Amino acid sequence: MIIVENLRKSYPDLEKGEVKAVDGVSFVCEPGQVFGLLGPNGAGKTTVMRMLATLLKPTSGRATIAGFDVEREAELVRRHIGFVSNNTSNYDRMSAREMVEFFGRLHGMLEDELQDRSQMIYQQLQMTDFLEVTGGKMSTGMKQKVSIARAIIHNPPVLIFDEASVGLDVLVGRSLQNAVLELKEQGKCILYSTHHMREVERICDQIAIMFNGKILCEGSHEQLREQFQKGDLEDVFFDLVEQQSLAEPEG
Amino acid sequence: MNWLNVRRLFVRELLGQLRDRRTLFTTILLPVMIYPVLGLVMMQAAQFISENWSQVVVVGDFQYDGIPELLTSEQRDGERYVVDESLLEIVPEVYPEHATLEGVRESLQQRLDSKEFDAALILPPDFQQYLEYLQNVVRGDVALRSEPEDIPGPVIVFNSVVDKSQIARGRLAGLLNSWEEQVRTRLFEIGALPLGVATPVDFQIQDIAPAESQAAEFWAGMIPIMLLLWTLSGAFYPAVDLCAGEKERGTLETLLCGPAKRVEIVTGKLLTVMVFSLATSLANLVAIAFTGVFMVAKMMPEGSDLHNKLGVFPGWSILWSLVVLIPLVAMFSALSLAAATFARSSKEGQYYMMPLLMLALPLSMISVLPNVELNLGTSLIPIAGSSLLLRNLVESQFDVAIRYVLPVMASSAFCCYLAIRWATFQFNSEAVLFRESEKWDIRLWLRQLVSNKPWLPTGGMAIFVAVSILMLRYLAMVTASVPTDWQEFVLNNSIALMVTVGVPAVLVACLLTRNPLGSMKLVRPAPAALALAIVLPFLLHPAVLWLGVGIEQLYPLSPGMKEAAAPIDKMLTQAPLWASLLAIAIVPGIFEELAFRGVILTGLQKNAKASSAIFVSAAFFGITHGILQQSLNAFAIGLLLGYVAVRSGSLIPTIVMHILHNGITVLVANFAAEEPLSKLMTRYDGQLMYDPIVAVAGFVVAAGLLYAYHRMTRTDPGPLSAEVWSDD
Repeated sequence: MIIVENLRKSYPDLEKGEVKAVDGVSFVCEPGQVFGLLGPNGAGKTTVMRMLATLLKPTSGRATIAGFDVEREAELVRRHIGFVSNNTSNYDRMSAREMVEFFGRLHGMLEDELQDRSQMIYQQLQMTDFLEVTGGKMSTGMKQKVSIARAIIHNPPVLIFDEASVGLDVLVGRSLQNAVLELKEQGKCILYSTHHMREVERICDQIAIMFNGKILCEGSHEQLREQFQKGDLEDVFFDLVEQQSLAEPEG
Repeated sequence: MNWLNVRRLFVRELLGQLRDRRTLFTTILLPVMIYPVLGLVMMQAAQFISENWSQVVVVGDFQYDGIPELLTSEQRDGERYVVDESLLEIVPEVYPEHATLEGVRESLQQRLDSKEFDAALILPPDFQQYLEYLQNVVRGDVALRSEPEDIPGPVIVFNSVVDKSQIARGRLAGLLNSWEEQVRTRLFEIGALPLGVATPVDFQIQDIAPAESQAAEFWAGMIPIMLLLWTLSGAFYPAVDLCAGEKERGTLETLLCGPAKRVEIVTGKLLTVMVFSLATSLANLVAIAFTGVFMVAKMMPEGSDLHNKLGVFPGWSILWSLVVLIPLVAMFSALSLAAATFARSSKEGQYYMMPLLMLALPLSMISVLPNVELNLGTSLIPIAGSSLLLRNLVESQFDVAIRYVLPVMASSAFCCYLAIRWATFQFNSEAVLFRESEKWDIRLWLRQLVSNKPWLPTGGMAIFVAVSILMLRYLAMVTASVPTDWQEFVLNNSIALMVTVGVPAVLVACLLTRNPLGSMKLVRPAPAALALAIVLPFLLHPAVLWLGVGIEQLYPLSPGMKEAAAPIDKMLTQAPLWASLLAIAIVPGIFEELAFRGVILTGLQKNAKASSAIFVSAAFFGITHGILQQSLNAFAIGLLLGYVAVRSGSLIPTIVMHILHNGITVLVANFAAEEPLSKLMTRYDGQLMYDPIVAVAGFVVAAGLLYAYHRMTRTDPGPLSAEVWSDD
């Protein structure tokens, strides 16, 4: 379970002075739920996710993952999450198998357990054909599959996908969505950020739209359409972002 | 720390590096190849130089009656003479009639400039008469002239800028030297004099150093430098790839969001870098030894010019250097890792190589300096100690080396620990790990400085103040004139301290922060802190003086330094007590504290743990004192002052401590011989010192008080929390 309470992150900027990258964000993501974070570039999605992955420290506020505080119990948090982002690459000089098993061992998995689980994941993600291919020679789709396998090898209760579908073709994108849905079925708590509205509509149970570091609205797909009386999520998104841009022209 | 994780990370990183051809080439293959290739090139070059003949012109007659010939008829080959053993081809020319020596020289100079020949020898006509006169004198036919003999001898004309001309000069001089020997012998024969008359005091030199040590001097100086530089470069390239390269490729973020702790990641990477640094050093050692044993020996056989100049290559004994390499490898690896972590990309990482080289090179050059020996003092200097130890090992002076292995290792291990801490700090700093490249705009930066001031100084401001102080102190040192009386000394010293130390700190606190008083820690202290500040200087002064003596034993003051300090000491004895206290206690006590424990320490506390901030501020405080012996003492005092400033949160106690400590020094210098101070004193090495028992007792009581204070004050909160830096 992810609980985020009034999370803030600011950093100094030469041009703007202090930039509030995340400004009082709160939400809860339950097990067996996919929570979608939507927002334009610079909205603060990646910063929220990096704070939850303990890569960045919050300026203020609090967040817990699987009951562990991201600031005070960072190591325990990292043991209970799988993090996939378009910034997290694979090692060029390591094969898919080596990469996945390396992270499994880092998580302290026993050899038998590691082999059983990795075989299952290779089958599930259809990786058996390129297990010995090194990172440098993989296609984007292959790389993304290895990233997912690396993130779920230790069977974490919480998964964070930060724009994981960027650069994927339709087929690989669809298989990523299927993988996420399967993980959801397994009872994982999943935080998912993307720019693709169709993707959100298909896989997310709860959606939050972020702009300038704040969550503008939150609810299920249906709730948001109803609240803003729009036909689809894309219209809701454009309306909200437009209103905010007018209200905060310098944002 | 989970060592199993460290091992996993190490194996992964090692595997990754071993699969990278560029790293393998730079760290292993290049050092192995470079020496044999260099050796081959040098062999070819030496052969090329040695087989070149020198073209020389001899102007004037060189056949003299009764005297051995300079050039014999056997050496004649047509119009010229060929001297095989000197590689000289000599064309004789007649000395122009009625020409002056100056005129002949000028004409030869022009021909030399147009490269007609490499060098020339002028044998003036009156030189022949002079040789005849010498023969007559030794025969007893004529009396020795009483007036000074001003007969021009042979003159070699050459151009020192042209290498070929230099070589020709050397060969001509050799030819003349051997001819001079023959002429001398002939003259002694004519006069029936023993040859010993020419060298009546024929002394001998007996060198007791082992043959291998005296012969290897040049190599013993050079090998440590080469080895140290390769060790650094062997560490640097993998470090850049493992940190900046991983950042660039996005794999660092993958690793950081994994379960391994940052310290485990740093250790795993450090071990990998160490392996490559060590491998580079090993490859170097073997390549140097191989090239030396098999090629240098051929290139410069015994008796050759190069052999005489460079000595015998020490051979396989250089492999002993491996003993010293491990701590050095660890230190360079940690330093490289920390520097490489700071870089955003591999390209940026390469830029940080130069500062590291600039740091390592002068220290490793110590091994080639004359009169610098391995002793306890030099062995404790990082890099320099290792370099000197390496020199001793290469010289086969194992008895000296073994005495200082431990201090060298301890000093290297301490530096290694600091470097590892720095690297770990970098890995924990999100500003370092995730900093984006932004366009540097000085106007924007200045506008931000003024319009968006922080509540307290930042780490960058602290470093700025520290560097400004160092530069201003240096400027003041090189421009200051030597004071002529105590008034001038007191005035100059006080003004210089205010301007160079106080002003940068106060300006930064007032102009660049929103809380100038807080930035300088000018807040009311707790009574306990004040009480401690009053008592500690009295208790610790004896120990600090003994520390100074210990430091001077390790690093004795040079006679020049003592000579320079003597007039100042004399001036101070003439100054009234109030003036000495003002210049030495009050002014430094206030302004040095405002800067070092005020703005610098407060700024450093923002980005680092209190212990690191204290260490760095004390290091700057030490360096500002200029003279090594004073710097070490000031560093130790700076640590204590920094601790009290952090624990009390106020600068007032440290100002009190500083003024009292320096004030006591002035008083002791003036009244040590008088009652009641003299009761605490004893004589050591000609000067009055505190009784060691007094020093130990004072130290123990002070340590007890500090411990009690430590227990009663708050625990170290680490880097000051963000709230402290905002006034919300």
